[in-house]
Amino acid sequence: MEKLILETTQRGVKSYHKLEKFPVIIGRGFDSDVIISDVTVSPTHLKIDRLEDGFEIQNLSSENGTKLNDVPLSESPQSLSIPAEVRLGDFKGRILSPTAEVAPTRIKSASNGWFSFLSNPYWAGFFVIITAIAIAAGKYISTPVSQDSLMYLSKVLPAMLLMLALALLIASVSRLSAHRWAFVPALSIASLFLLLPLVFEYIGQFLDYLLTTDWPSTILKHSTEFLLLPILLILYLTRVHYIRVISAIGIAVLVTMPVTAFFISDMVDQMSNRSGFTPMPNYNKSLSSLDIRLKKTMEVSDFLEQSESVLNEKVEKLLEQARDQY
Amino acid sequence: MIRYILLLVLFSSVTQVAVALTDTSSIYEEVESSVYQIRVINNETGKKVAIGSGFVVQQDNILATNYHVVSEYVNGSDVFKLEYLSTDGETGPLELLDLDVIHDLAVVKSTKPMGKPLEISAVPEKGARLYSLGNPLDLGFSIVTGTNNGIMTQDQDGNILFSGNLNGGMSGGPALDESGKVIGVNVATQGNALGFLVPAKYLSVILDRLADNDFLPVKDRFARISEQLIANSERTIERLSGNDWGTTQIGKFLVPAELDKSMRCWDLSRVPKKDDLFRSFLTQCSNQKNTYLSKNLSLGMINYEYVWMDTEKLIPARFYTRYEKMNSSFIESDVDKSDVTNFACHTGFTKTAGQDFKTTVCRRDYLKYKGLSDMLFSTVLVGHPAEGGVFNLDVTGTNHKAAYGLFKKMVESFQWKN
Repeated sequence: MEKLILETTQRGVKSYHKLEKFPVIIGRGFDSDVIISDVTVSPTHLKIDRLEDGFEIQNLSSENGTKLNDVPLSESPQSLSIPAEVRLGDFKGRILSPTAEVAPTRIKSASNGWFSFLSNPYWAGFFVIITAIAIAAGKYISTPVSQDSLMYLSKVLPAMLLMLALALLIASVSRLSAHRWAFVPALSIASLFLLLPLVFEYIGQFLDYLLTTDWPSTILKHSTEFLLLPILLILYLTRVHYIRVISAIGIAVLVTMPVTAFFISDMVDQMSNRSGFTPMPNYNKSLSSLDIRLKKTMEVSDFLEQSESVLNEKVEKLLEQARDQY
Repeated sequence: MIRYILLLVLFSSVTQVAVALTDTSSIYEEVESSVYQIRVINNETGKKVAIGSGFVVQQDNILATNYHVVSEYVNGSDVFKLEYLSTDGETGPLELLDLDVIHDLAVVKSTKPMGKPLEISAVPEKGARLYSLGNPLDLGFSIVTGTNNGIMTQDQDGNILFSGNLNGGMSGGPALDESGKVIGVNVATQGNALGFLVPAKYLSVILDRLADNDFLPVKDRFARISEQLIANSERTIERLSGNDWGTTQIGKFLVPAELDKSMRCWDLSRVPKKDDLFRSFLTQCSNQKNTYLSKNLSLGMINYEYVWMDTEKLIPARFYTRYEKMNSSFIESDVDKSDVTNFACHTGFTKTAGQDFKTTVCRRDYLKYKGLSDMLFSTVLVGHPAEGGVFNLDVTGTNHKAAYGLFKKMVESFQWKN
């Protein structure tokens, strides 16, 4: 074992220095063998030397000192076992053997393939168009009066603007962190962020009528609120930045925490409202022109008989609850 | 102007007026000592929260008044107490014996003799002179002369129409015929010189019931009230069900029109505009009759409404977004959680007049009034891409079974006219 590798991390980027000629001086001074620009490092900070049967390390800094594997070094040389972590002031490094194994190569997903829906520009274009159509259709369906087509355009354009701004924001973050713009995936993510809530809302309405209950739309609404942003973020981090899934989940949870906190407080409010008294009857009011439903049509008298026994039971429970409260 | 009218009256009926005047003063003298102010007093502050009038009847310690005069006490007997105030300023406690919320009557008992009991008599012929006594606006006792204008029909509310100036505070006072016998109890006023009296026969019913029971107070007032409300609601619904409703057309449906003469129906359709893409019609009917229970609770309302929507220009998805907004029914009332439970609802699909409907029944029960419910029915036409129809029926303060019966009968009389 004649050589060593010094791994340094600066602003998240790792660099490696081969240490071949010993003794090696590490410091901020330009006469050092390995120059480190961190201001907490002394001009002549650390010395590593080769002995016959290994290496020794010596702290030369009287200012911020050096820690070896979290233990402060004295000024006298000390033997060095590999691998080791060193800390020069605030600056972190690792000393490795040249034979140490490196992490396996992360295989880049076949970019621009038909299935990589985030990075394929056709997909991004498709998402953008579908989003625009969905927003326009939503506005068209919800206004039962005749309106100028320019009117719908004026509803769609702000959403498109928001989408572009969002895409630009994501791309800028990429540019800063990964030195790539990655605008296509950013556009896909931004359009999905606007499109999916609309899609889920429609699915929720369809299921509400299908099952004659308000649960599907409620569940879909809440899952969109809580999960959409983190899931898109995780996709973006893993597909575009090749970050491991576990780390991506961590980052996504951390970043979306304020939004999640807001929705949690909102949901708790709604739940406390729901559990309290309301003079409004709460029943499934959904109607669908498709009229696709699981409940069969009954004779009025059969339905009324059924509802009488169902309501007897429900009201009995409500009366019991009320009696417990008073 | 006023002087002119007064002079006119004096000249045109000199002899009659002279007779009536002696009558009025003699009646006043005769019954003055039997008429009292009834007041509800807050235990803590000792101040009155409601006043009305009352009179001695049947026994010298029994007084009759209106339910609405003592309702504050009935609903909060731990906070309030009942008191009388005589014409000469004497006060004393009263105990509530029995009540009739439907006819707005209450009977109370004093611990000591209160004067000569007034006698009850049948309502005299239409046009007869009546004397109404009471304590208008807390200004002191007075007597008002007026005319009997007859008894209103049952589908109104069976009260005596009295043309005389009844005022607040006279509620619960007696209305006497010319022989000084009680024929009714002052209950309400409307507009100018239009008063209503409860026929005294309903008071006799309570007094007979009390006499059978040694004039002991009713044990559970709320149970008695809910019995009365339920019986009244059942009677009303039975009466409605027996009527010939006639039909009215809304969209492609022939539906029952007014269930009764007391029902008032209004058209509340939006005014169509030239560029409308759909048509929509709304008819609302209400029985306008509530039984007063407390300041924020009146029950016995029957409301129903028909909505029709259709379109030739809207695509189904667009039409249904609008139609779905019409599918929302609720009961307007001031109840809170100390009155009722939340609504429990049941929704399904039913076949009416050969068409499919999405039908919902909701029910909530009163906590104090056992067996009393508010019922809400809603049935909505489905399966027609360009046509929609909604029928909503609300019945408050009812026996739920009776309300089911009414809804069923109404829905089963629907006809589809293509």
